[in-house]
Amino acid sequence: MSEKDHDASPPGAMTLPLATSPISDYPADALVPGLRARDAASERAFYERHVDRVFRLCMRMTGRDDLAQECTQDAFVRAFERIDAFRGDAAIGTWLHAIAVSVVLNRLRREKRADARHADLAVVDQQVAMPTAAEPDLKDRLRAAIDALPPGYRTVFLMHDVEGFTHDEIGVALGVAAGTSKTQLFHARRKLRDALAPFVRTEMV
Amino acid sequence: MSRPLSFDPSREPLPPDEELWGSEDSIAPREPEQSPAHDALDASLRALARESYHVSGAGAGHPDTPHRVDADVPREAMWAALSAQRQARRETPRGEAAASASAAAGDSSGGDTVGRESAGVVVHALAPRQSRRFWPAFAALAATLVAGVVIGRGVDGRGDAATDARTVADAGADAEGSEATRDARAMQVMLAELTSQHFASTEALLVTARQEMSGSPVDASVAVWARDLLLSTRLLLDTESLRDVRTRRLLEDLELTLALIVQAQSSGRDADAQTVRDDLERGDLLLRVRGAAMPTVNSPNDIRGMSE
Repeated sequence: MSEKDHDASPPGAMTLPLATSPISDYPADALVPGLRARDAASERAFYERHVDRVFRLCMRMTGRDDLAQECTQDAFVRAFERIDAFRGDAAIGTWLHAIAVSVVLNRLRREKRADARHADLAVVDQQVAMPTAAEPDLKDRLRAAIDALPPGYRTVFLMHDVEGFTHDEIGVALGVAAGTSKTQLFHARRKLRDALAPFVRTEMV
Repeated sequence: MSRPLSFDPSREPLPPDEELWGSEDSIAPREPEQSPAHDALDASLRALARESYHVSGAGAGHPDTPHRVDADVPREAMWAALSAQRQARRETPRGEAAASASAAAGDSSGGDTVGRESAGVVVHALAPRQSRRFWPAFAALAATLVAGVVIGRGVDGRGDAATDARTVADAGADAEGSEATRDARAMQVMLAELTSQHFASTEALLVTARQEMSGSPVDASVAVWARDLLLSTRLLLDTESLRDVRTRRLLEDLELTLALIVQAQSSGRDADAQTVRDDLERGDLLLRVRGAAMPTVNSPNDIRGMSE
């Protein structure tokens, strides 16, 4: 948005003294009227407030810095342009993350990375169980197993167990009920346990 | 998998359940039984995952590791990029075309917002992001939109004649429904026409790409063209009114192929170019696009993109 637009302060825009008050002082949903009014300060405040978490989520889901950046940008552009579609059923942050998740999942799908990540876990099992001269670190094995999960499971696991999202938030992001998210998390964990079982038995138990 | 939440137009449609969850669990099963040993193991794995992502995220020794997630977030770079992207969208002729088309739609439909919004969405969907060479396309697009509205009015005119024989009270009620129907039909016609145009443009690109990519890297101009069409494809996919499953599936396949073309050019890898070549040679994509590009509008109920 141009400086001129910025100064115009359209009706509904919030006046945010960004220089003096931390953005975190403002309730996230308080920015919605400003976003709807296409107010530049509100948009920047919204961005500052959420960009770290959105980028981190994109990074973990894509595993690539460039893709994560593009997905983060796409998510914010989409959110800014479609803010009128935000109905307030969930928190604005949850809505933004839902957009980010769908952007990432579709991006991965487009790039056929999903196919690579769909590799049967049995293959990962073999890789995990196969003794080699220099055994990879358990963390590497875990990350490989996470990457091998189908996108939905990977998303649920990363969002809940790594990023700390609630099942309600994950449900919104994936378009499923919170209970379904919980169930799928169980299955994601089971798949990880199965994939890592041989190594875990010897190293952790 | 149940999808109980209502459609959110801000989001892209999620991949199908089978892709999301894998075929074995595509129907949500009940929770598996969990033993204390599993709980303990899960806790260990969870802690390890967090540690793994965060610790390795520092990435000092592994700058290229794909999980370098806690490195500095390129806030300013991303903000600059997305601001530039939005600015470019505002400055392209699309905005003017959308405004004029919306005005035309609004005038023709008696100022109803449905017509204006739909026209705006469709123009947005089909307007390339860049380059002045698409001016003729914009002009054609605006003309098509106006034609769509006129056709919509014409179609609805028949319905208006029928209301003459009814009582005044009925006519009043019918008029409201008739107006909504007219706008919906106008939107259907516009969408069908524009979708058809989009497929025609895409067909031209695919033919060009197939010829130019035989044994050579992807040309930059083809990639730019593909990027424009990719944007249009994605925005068309976002159009709520586009409900036809076959058209959606074709658009999704196109989206993938166009993304591959763009990626092949940006990566410069021959393997990527070969993937595109295989994609174009092996599949029936071109045939399907060619078929979809043919105008098939015979009646308002036989409009591509609107039949269930």
